[in-house]
Formats: sequence, structure tokens, C-alpha cells
Amino acid sequence: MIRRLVRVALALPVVAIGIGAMSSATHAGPAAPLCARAAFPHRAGLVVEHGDGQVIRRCVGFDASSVTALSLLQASGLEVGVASYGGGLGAAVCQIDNEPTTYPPGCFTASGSYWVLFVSRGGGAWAASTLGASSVMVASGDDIGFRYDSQTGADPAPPTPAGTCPAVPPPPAPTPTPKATAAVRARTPSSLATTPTLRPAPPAPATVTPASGVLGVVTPAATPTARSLGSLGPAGDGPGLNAGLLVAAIGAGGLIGLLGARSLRRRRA
Amino acid sequence: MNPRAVAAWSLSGITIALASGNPVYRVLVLLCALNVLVALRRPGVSLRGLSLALVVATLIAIAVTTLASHTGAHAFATLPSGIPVVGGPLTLEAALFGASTGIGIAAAVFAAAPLSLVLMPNSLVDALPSALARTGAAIGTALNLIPGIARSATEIRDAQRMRGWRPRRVREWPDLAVPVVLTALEGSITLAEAMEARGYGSGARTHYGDIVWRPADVAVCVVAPVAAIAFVLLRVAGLIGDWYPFPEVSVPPIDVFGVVCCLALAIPALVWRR
Repeated sequence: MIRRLVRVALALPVVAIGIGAMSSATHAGPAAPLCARAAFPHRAGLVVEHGDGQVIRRCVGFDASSVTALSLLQASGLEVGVASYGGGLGAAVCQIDNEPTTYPPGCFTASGSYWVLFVSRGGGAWAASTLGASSVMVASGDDIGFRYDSQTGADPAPPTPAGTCPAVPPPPAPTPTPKATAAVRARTPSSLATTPTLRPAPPAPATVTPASGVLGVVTPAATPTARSLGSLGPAGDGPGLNAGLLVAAIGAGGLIGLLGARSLRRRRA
Repeated sequence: MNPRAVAAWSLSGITIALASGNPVYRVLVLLCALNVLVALRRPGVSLRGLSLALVVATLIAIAVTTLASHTGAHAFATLPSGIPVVGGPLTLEAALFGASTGIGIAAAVFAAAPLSLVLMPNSLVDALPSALARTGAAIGTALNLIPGIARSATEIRDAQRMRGWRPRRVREWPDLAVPVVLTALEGSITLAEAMEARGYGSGARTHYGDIVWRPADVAVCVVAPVAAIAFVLLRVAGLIGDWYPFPEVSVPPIDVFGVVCCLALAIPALVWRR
């Protein structure tokens, strides 16, 4: 019995080393190429302002006359975490572009920051939305803005949406091209950009029409402060050993061993 | 063991267990508390009932969180969305969050358990400051009320059964309830007379012996609160954070100093002997 406890106590640090190494390795995700497209009848701008002030701008094209702000956000290619409340309550945007890193099941913490949604209609000024992202409808020419802001104090609007969706010449007649597959893949967060492509991509083929109304992403020409989407992993988190986890595992192993030894001694006494 | 040192340790353990939602720290507090209980509990005191209750509480926390929270990347089942509240995907992340909550509850309860499983009730009341002696006695009496009534109810039920009492309808339950209430009233009067006979309320509480502070007691009374304060300061400074498994389960962030603070709670198991 004591041997078994000693084995458990010795095995825990080894397991911790393995978990620590794996967790560090998983932070370094591969970057994929961006597919920029402009061949959609409707477009709306997306401005995301992080808590540290970094701004991401996207121009998202869509096929339907209007889409929800949540659909637009999800089609932008940015990483999005959503909590669904079910029924008519809709969904809440908990995480954009990996901020915050994690969140509670109800999405909001008691005192932490959250993503405030703003809407700009037809190039007008930002207005804080009274509806959630799954309920706000966005039409062509509108803009939506998300700003990561604390729950206390005023909610300043994100930077102006002007220029987020630059004037793009109307798309030529759709002709099938080999780029079609990449165009569809642009809707998934796994195909984010290493460096934003500033040129409009070739037009979309008519054969590629997803069921969703949101079809693709366009990166605007002017994104001087845009975050490089290829560097979304936590900074300075290279492969290595998590010292805290190792110490915790050694401590837990020692406590389990001590617990077992005391239990045995008490049972024999 | 100095009861005040035990109380200081319990308060420190509860503080650390509840200060962070990180399950790693909570597990460490839980293990420290288990070590203290196994090493120092009173002879004849069993941990089985408390452990079973906390396992059940943890399972309930897991079930409730899994059914009510539908956030997370790894769904292992889906309930029809038409079912109110519980309808939707059931995720691994929600289950892990429920487990973390349950472990937090267990750690806090085990940290408080030495107050009743290690110390005698009278020594705990003795350890209270003189200004709180009367309040402590009143609270102790109140806390014993429900268990006392439960014991009384069991005894009366057994006695009634021996007399052939076999309740079949609700209207027959007064045969049990009336004697239980009367016994409880009688017990209260007896307790009040006993307390008055012992001079309750007539002056400062006296003791058979003074509370002795040995080096081990001082060590526990210093190390555990210092660890708790350091943990809270680290939490305020942002070095120790909460852990949420959403949107995707991840290894909890662990700070070495936070781990050291938790491990410091094992000191009673090392320096105290029963």
C-alpha cells in the first residue's frame, strides 16, 4: 500500500511535466492565409477595439439583404466565443479575438470587462445597441463596433467606422476559379491571416453559395493599427515547463502520500 | 492544540479556497484540510459521512452546471432545445466548471470541519473572546437545536412503533409530532435552567484552565494567516486569477507563490500531534 502511494506521489510530477509541456505547445497555433473577397452585393463594416486599445477593422460581405450582428462578427474570421441563453433570449458575445482568454458559463463576470456593442447606421455616428448581437440586424452600409470595456463608468464608442468598407468596384460576372475553395474557408477562424491582404481577391464563383447569408470577408485598405491575426497566441508562451504546475503536482503528491501514511498508521493503531 | 490557532487555520483555509476559482488551488486546500482532519480528528470521529455528503454535493454541482450551461466547445450530448433551461448541448467544459465549483465547496467545508471534528465544542466556546462568550454559547445552543430535535424524533418514533404505531395516513402523524414538540420545549426549559444554574449571564465566563500557546500553536497561527493574506494580495495583484474552462477547456494558470501559500496550510498536520 505504501509503495503504491509512493508511486502515485512520484507519478504526479511526471504527469504535470507532460501536461505543462502539452499546454505550452498548444498555444503556438499555425497561421493560415487570408482570403479577401469583395464580390458581394452587400457589405458592412466591423470595428473591434480591444481592451488595450488595439483596433481591428473588417469589411464583411454578405448575400442577404440583412444579417445579424453576430453572423457578421462570426463571418469576419475573428475568433468569437458565444454563450447561448436559449429560447428568445438569444446569445451573448463573450470573447472576440481571444479576449478575454476565458470566461464563466454565464459569459459575464460580476465586475470584469465585457464586449459592448455599437451600431452605426448608414455611416452615421456610433450608438450603443439596446439589443444583443444575435438580435441586431445589419444592412448594407451599416457598421457594427465591439469595444471591450469595464462594467463601470461610461461606455465610449470605438474609433469611427469611416473607411472600414472602402469603395470597391462592382464585381464582374461570376466565373468559377480555383480560388473558390479558399474563399469559403475564409469564414472559419482556423484560416486567419498572417498579414492582412490589402488587395481585393478575385470574384467569387456562382457555384459557391453557402447556406448562410454571410459569404466572405474583405480586409480594408487602411488598417494601420490592425492586429496581426497570425500572432493570436499568448505572447512569450513558447514550449516549456509550467513551474507552477510542477510545484503543485509535487505538493499534491506529497500531501496524498502523507494522507495515505497517516490513514494507514491510524488504521493499524 | 490551541483552539484559537485552529480557528485561525480554518479561516485561512476558507479564505484561500474561496478567493480563487482555480481548481488547482482548491484541490491543494482540500488535500491540506484532509491531512489535518485525518491526523488530528477526535478519537471516534468518522469522516465518512462528511465525505459522502461532499461527494454528493460535488456531483450535484456537476449535474446542475452541465444541464444549465450550454457553453463550451466539446459537446458530448444534446438535449432537445424545446426543454426549458436544460435543453441544448451538454458540454465537457460545463461539467468541468461544475466539478471545480464542487471542489471549492468541499475545500471550504473541509477547512471549516476541524472546528467541530478536531476541537471539543466547549473548548471552542472557551476560545472565544470574553465579549463574545455569551453570543457563542447562544449560537452553539441554536446550532444544536435541529440535531437535538432529530434525535428526539427518532427516539419517539421508535418508542411509538414498539407500541404498535403504524402510520398510514397524514392525520396519524400528530402522534409523532406532538411528543416531539413537547420534548423539545421541555429540553429547552431544562437547558435554560442548567445554564442559569451554571451562572450563565451573571458575569465573565470562567475556565478550568488557561489557553496555552505552544510553539506549534504559534507557528500555525502565524503561518496560515500569512499564507491567506499573501494569497489574497496575489489575487488582488492579478498574479492569481480565476479559471474558466470556456470556450474551450484549458490547463488552469498556476502561480508558484499561490501554490506555496496553499501548501503552507498543511502545517498543522506537520507540527501538531494528537
